[in-house]
Amino acid sequence: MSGVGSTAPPESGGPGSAGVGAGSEVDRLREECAELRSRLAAAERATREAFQGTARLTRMLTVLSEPGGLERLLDRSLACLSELFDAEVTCLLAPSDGRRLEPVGICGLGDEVDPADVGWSGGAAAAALASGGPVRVDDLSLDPALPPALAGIGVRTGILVPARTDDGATGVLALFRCRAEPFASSELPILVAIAHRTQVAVEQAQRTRQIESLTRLSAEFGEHLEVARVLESRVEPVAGLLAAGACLIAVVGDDGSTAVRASWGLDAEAAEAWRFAAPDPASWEAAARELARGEALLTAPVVESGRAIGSLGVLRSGELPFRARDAHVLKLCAVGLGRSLANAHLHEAIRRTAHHDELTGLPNRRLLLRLVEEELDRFARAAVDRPTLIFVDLDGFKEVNDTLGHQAGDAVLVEVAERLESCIRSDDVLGRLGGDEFVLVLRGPADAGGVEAVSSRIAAALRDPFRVGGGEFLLTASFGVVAPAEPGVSTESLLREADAAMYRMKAERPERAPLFVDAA
Amino acid sequence: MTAKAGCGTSARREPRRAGAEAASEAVAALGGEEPALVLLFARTGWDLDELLAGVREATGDAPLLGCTSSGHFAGGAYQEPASGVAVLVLPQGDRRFGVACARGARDRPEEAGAEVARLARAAADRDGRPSGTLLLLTDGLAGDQERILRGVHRALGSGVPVVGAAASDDRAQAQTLVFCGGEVVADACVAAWIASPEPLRVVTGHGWTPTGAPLLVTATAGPVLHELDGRPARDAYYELLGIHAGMPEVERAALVNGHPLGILQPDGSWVIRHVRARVDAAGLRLFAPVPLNAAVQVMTGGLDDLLAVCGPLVSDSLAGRSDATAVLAFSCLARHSILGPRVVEEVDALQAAAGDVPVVGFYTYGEFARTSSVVGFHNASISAVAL
Repeated sequence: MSGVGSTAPPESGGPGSAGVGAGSEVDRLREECAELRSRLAAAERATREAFQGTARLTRMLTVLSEPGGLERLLDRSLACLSELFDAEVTCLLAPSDGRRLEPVGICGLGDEVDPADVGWSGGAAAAALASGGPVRVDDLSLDPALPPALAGIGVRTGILVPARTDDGATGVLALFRCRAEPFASSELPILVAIAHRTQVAVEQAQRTRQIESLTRLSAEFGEHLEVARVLESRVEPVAGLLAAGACLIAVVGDDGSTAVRASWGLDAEAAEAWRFAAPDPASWEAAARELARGEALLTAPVVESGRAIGSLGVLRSGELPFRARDAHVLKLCAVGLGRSLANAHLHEAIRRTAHHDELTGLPNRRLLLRLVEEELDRFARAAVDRPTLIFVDLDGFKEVNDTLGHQAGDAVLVEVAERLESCIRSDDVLGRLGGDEFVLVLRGPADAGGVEAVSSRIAAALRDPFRVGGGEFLLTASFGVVAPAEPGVSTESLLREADAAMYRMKAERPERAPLFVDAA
Repeated sequence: MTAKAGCGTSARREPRRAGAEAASEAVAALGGEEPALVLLFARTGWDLDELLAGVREATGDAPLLGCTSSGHFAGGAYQEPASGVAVLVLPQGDRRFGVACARGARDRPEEAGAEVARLARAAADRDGRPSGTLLLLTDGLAGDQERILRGVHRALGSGVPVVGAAASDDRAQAQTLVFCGGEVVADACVAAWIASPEPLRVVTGHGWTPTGAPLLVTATAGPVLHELDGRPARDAYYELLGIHAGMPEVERAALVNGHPLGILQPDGSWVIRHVRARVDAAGLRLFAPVPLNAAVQVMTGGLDDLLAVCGPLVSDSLAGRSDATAVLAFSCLARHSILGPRVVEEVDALQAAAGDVPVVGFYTYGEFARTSSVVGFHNASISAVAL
């Protein structure tokens, strides 16, 4: 024990002093141990936090790179954010019309909340978007713009991080907690990186969806073969594709003006305001930009068979501009529209050739017979009054061809067609059966007096001299007028009767009133 | 003043009589009040339809939900796995209940979760009771329970806490079943919407602490963890635990059972994933998936540590709740296995902390306790709520 005594200070000699000295040493060692433990715990904590920060970023990047559509991406990424930052509500906001930010995706509010109740007009969200930097709000109750749905769930702290892409800040990533503990400063850099990556991934998914929609729509558009339907079918889907409030298609007319031929989101009066004295799409677009001041207008020329024939335009009210990718999508839509129009015009030309007489433009034999048959059907169903059919055959037309040539004959036929057309009502039908034979179908009441009047007008119309090849000559025509005596008369029978009546007139009553026959 | 809930147990072998006996005991404790909600937890391997019929002889048509278990407890009484039934009957008080069931928990977990949540919510009279809590019991072998919870979250949002458990089946891992009304349902989840004037407090705890540095999950597929920090997961895990090739199987299994993984949470806590003791060539097989690139730590804890959470947990659930009629507690079967004979201490500690409020629950294949973010499925933990 002497050794112990020798180590004790002189003034603390005596019984028990050795124990006090040993106790001090133990206490000192204990304190050192406690200090070391404390440092170790702090180091462990710091390591864990640093590790966790890296893990958060890596996990988010993993989720953002998973395959799947836009909904899945938003669902997974916002749920992951909620987990990684212990946030009750996470959402991605994007500017809509005006200065309002609406949720593109949201996690944590359940299905009883209307997403519209999560939109921000001003406040911290707008501040984040405008400043381009994150905005941390430690007491959300002080923000008058706090959306009612968020206030309802009791969020207390939040962080709103602008989501930047190459086009600048195009969205806001927002996280909210229902407890007073604010988001830590150390979380900001991670959230800034995550916001950027999330926005890029979401915009990529949106773009993919746009292209998919465009592909699907292109297939649907291909089903329309009438010009009017092609135009009308485009406007609403294109507006939807570009989140536009209105879409219009302006087409250059023959009169040097360009007018809206189809629109969505504009009433007739508003659409008419977009008619300008513009002989080409570029002039129209310049005038349209003037008119659209205060609104975002995006246009793309519509080119049909190598010729710019009009413009496809979309409008957004407020201050939400269109972006480069929107222009690309609209251009694709305009290219598709040009192709569809070319197809429709080609289809119309083919249909016209198949059903119309190439020389006079009147319905040809095939179409004429079909129209007569349809009218007889309607009569048989008592849907209309009985029709009257007037068979017109030019007298001595063969001599015109023989003496003046076929070219002159053709000119005469064209003029005859025009004169006959002037004698009938707009809903009557005039067709060319072939050669110098024409048929008129008078719809509606067919009393003999009315028919007489039409026949007289025809006779008078043909009485004027024809001027062909530098000379003039006169033509007469023979008529056969028939009407079905009762429902059920066939087209063939009616035409046969008309033909016979015409020949009777030709033989028996030249230059006299046509013979009216009730066809049995 | 609302009467306390009633609970009862029965160890009879004949199911109808067991159900009637446990339920009658529970109903009798209500002192004449009608049961407003019935919960029961029962062993497997007997006629469960008969069991339910017996329960309903005593409870009438009161809304009922429950599931198969691996041991359960009620009012301090403990029944070991493969024995008996425990019944809890709740008086109405100022709460209203809506019970619903959704099938397809295995093939369409998220849809089933959302469906059962919406149906239960719709079944409850919420008028004047702005707070909602979802009590959720699921097919414990349905796979990824987080996906069921995700569906619930999508439907209800963060404002509705979720508490409950994945049904178990006396450790057989063959078939877990849930009960809804008088029906026994497989491949399903059942839920009760609890509408109350004030929010209920859902709590969870485990008693595990981390050992060693955090690890990154670098390869995973479902519940199988392939890589930790870029190394074969089993190698990395065994190395940390000092498990070597020549170690006796019993010793190895005990080490694995006593060292679950903890997924690091933003608030510094850990959500526990139990590691199955059975050797799997593919990697470490867990009771539930861990996300790719999640940060995890190997956890450790002595029996005293695990038991120490019970009392504070129940006290926490009861804090400020003088109107509480019962405490529901769900403890993991992994804890049961680790605690061994000391499991009765857990049951005692839970009940002791609740005083005269009956604590009823069972040993599960996983516990639900979702309160803030989307995460809320736990292993080797206890979740609780005071009703």
